[in-house]
Amino acid sequence: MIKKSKVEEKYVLVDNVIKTFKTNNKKKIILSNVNFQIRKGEFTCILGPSGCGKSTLLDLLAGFTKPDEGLIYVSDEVVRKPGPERGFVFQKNSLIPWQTLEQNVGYGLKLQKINSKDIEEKVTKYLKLVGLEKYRKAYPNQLSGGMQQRGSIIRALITNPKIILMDEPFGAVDAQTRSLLQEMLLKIWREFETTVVFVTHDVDEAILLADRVIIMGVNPGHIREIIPINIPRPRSLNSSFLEEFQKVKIKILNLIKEETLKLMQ
Amino acid sequence: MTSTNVSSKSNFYFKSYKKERLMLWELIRINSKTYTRKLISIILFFLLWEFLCWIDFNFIINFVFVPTPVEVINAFIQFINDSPWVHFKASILRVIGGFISGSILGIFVGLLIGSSKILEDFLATPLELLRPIPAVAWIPLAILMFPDAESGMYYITFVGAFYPILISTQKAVENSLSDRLMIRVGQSLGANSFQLFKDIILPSSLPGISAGLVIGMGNAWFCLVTAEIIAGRFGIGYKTWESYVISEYPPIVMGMVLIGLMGAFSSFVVLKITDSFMPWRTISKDGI
Repeated sequence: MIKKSKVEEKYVLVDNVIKTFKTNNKKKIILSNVNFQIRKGEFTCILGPSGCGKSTLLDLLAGFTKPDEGLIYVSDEVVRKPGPERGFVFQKNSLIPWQTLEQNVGYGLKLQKINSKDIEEKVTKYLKLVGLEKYRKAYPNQLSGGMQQRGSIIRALITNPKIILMDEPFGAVDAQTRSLLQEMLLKIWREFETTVVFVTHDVDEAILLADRVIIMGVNPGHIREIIPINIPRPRSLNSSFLEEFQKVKIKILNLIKEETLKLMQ
Repeated sequence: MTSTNVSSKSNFYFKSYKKERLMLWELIRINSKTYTRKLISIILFFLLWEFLCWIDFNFIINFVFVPTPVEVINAFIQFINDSPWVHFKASILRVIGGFISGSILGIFVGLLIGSSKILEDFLATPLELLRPIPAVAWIPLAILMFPDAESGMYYITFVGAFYPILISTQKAVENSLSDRLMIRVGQSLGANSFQLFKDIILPSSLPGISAGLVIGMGNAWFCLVTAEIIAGRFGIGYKTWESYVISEYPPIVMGMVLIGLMGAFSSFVVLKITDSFMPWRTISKDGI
């Protein structure tokens, strides 16, 4: 019992991670001594000024790049390379152009050698979930940006991953579509009880979505503060009028302002 | 209002298809003036040609020995009445043979060089040294190297088709490999190296490979004339060269026009076939 709760507490464990990049034979530290943990089923947002290494951190969680030092565990397994057990939603244009929407959504299952009838069934179910079943035969360039991101989300979700990693997935869609997508994502998250790590630079978005917001600092990238968001769920656009929302927003904005000023000095 | 909206959404592929056809007709209608002008320009071109021959124009360029359009057409009629199919057959077989072998080898080697640094180091340099050698320069060696004239001719047509296909494939693969986003998409969905190659790299290289095939087909026709000069007793290129040797001028121009027409037509066919492998592309040139 104790052991299990411990696993749930440290479902994601980032342990003393250091990441450097080499430019012109000079080592530049991008992330220094990053430590945090995430509970199972938690929705975590990562916020920070541009250049703080938040996307680099997400790449490390996905396994696209490896940390120079330290280890990352997801569900007690060390992350070594990318794979379907960690679903990734990219910023934009990530549906494979030569595959139709249904081929895109079912591609992860096809790679697992699941028979085509089961794939079709599951794809239909997931397409319905985000209201895209009519567009299953469409190619990505026939879909709007918002539709593409919905397809991208269910493509990451369909392989039943342990965690979903999202890299500013709504950054490139217009404001109206964005708030619809945010509510849709919250609904999916509740239904599937998935663990989500969501990188964004939009403070409102982070507060609306997250259980906890990780604020990152600069020079070099590090964790500045982790702020729990205690706004009752289910949340919607209206939640932004709550006093608690405004309070936490001001706190976060000030922190980010401080870090952004450091970049300018 | 709502119902029409829904049906229009579900039919939007048809719509876009219809729209394309409609646009084509509209284009023709709007451009009918342009087509008239183009037709007039072609007629004027032939009239000018006929006129220059008729006055025996001779200033820098000498039109005294140039056959008139009418003579060319007569030569064509005579050619058709003779026994044209041996010539067509010989040329078409050589082009197809050279093109297909050039495509297979060009795409295969291009994929290897494009995706592997080691193979590039081993293969690219000698291939690159041989590439600038024109087809004419291969003739003597081709005669010495191959058991008969026919296989020498296939070889020269092959050389013409091979290089553009090779280079286009190589560059297309390198380009696909630089697309980090698509590779990451594949990796994060669980694709291994082979699956990445098959599902991501290869399809994204198809437009480049297609361009190589179209150019390769054109080049195969260029080189055909060269090849048929070697030996051969049949073929459009042979017919053109033979007419020159026996000082019978109208068939020369006829041969040139035939080679041009068949080259353009076969390139068009290659383009259409390769396009059918890429249904995801929508190309809008002026409508941006």
